[in-house]
Amino acid sequence: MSPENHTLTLDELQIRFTTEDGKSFITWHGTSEIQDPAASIGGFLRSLIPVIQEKRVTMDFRPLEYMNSATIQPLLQIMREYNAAGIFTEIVYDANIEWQRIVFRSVASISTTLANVSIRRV
Amino acid sequence: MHKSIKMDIPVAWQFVKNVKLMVEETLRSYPDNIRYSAGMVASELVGNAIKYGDRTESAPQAKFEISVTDSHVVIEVSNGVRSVDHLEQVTKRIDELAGSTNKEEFYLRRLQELLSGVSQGSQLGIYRIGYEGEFDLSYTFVNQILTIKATRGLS
Repeated sequence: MSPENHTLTLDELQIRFTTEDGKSFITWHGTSEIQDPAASIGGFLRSLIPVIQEKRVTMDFRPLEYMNSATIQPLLQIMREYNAAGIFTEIVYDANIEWQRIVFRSVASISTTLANVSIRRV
Repeated sequence: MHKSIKMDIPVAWQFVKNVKLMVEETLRSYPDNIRYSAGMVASELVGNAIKYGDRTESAPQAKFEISVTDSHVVIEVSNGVRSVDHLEQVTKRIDELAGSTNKEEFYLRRLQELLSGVSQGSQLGIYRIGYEGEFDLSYTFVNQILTIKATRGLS
């Protein structure tokens, strides 16, 4: 673990930024059910841009149990901003979890124009 | 079997989580996908009622109801309406879904709008209920009270 580790905790949601062996990970845990996540989640993920600019980052949703529809907006917005900042973002989800499969398959189909973003099912 | 639970919706965001857990518990004997979808639907509709609803003389209290029969689960949320704009947006989305055989199209279009940044606010919940949750939606607007009804077969 490096000193560049950060965690956002909002109620039962935790988003952890970690670096290991030169690789960066943003891992979502718990449930995202807050009323207005755009400022808090978006702000946290945006604050990481200087740290990961022009690097690779894996955004891992597999441990996330649930997210409300309000959470999807800041996620899409940050995908666009990371793409513009030259951050190579790999989004990973669990295809055995029905809601993750539906949400991220849909996100994959609309984000093909983001050259630096890829979405991988495991 | 017929089970029905009615609750008043307080103006407290914590209730969104509580009602989702209550719905999942009510449907504990059903498959995971039904239980998850119904919890999501309850969460989205109650969240909308708290965010966009209003207490009026004719609708002093927002209300939630879940009914489960052998064949269907029905989730119903009623509340006063804060703005005509919101009422028009919600009813337009429900009408779109009701008249379509391809609910995914509307869900993807909204995601695309959010990704492109041309539209603020999520306003994805209604499409998510119809597409991801596979619930049919209908509404009434009577005496300034908006009632949204979400129904899914249990077969």
